Amino acid sequence: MSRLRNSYLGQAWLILLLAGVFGALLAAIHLELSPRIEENIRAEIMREIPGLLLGGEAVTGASITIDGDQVSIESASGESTSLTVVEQPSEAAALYRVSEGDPEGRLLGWVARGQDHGYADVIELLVGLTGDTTQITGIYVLNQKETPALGDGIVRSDFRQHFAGIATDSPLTVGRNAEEAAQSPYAIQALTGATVSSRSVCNIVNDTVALVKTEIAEPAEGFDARP
Amino acid sequence: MPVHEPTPLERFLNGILPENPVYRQLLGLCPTLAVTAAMKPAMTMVGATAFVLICANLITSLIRHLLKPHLRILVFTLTIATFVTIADRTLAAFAYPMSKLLGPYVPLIIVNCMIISRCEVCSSKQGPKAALADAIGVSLGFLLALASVATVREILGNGSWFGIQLVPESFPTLILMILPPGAFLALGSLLGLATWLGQRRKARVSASEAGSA
Repeated sequence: MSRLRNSYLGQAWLILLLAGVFGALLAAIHLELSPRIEENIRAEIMREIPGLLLGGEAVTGASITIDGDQVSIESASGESTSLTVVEQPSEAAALYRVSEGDPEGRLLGWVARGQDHGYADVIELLVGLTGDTTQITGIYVLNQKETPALGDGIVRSDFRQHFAGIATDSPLTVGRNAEEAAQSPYAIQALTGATVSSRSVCNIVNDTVALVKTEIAEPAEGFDARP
Repeated sequence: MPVHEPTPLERFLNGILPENPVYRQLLGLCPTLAVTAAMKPAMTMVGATAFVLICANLITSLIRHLLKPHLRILVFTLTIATFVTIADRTLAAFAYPMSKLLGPYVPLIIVNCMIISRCEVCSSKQGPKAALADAIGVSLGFLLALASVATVREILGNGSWFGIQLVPESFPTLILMILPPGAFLALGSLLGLATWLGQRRKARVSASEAGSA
């Protein structure tokens, strides 16, 4: 009896039991809440797409309405723009084809969701590309848990704006300071004290751009790659 | 000699002021500094922390006779992490903008010493009634602390309270107060005030005791 009590199982049975019960509880919570969370994330993506493709100035003070695949933007000056966002079959977490007006309208650009490990946890990004995928139009951080006051600076617009307008013909690199970043048009200046987070963001952008380019060049069945 | 365990009422009252987690024990300072730029995120953090504390205290209290001394911290952490994950996912589902605003600070409740200390000090030793009273009392103490810091910061830094504009917008505000240094200034000043009031009260009690003797 005392042998059983002193064995690993005898010592750890409560922890094993709790782990099983809590694991089942978390699985049930996940099953119940994940559709709602995904819905919230999709609404956030739809709200951010106009800013990513049209530029931050075009949506500053604008009212954005989402109705299914349609996003309507009414600027502060009263000008209205309508976009159609259609998700494409992709190996990326999500890839959206964005056109002006209806789905037959002019192709405005592409927005892809990419993710990889950051310093603390997974970083999830939205990467905006022009219709011909030759330029990055902007990035948006969907999810991150980087170090507060250091790595979490990747969400700030002054860091993100470095990505807008960079050509996609060469992968992005990270410059540790302004001097290093100025040496190449493809270099992004790292956040002070958060080189790992900055590098992770650049890697996610590089991987996502490469994937989108490949998928547009060799479209899978059902993929709308019209220029 | 048997050790006197505080009654549920004593546990409840102690948690609010005499053993206030922030002003008396200096615990839970990370959220106190990080999410108190405004009342809304501060109160959401209090709600999430209170939920985790109440659930963790109750579970720990119910299984207290099964705990092995050398494995107790593991059980506390496992329990706390489970309820923090539930709080985090619930916020992401029903209060998504607030969940985004609080960012990593909700998952960081797992390492909030205030919760693990209540499991260690109270719920692993006393029954569910005392554990529940303790959790509610400490949560109210935490609410008092975060509300006081957030009130000072939001009014001075933004001229508003709970998003309601109190000071006319033409009045100058101290932007510094809603920035990180403002958290240290507000907490430091309030801690100083709380300590000064405590010492004054103690001195008054000693003087009256000496007078009656």
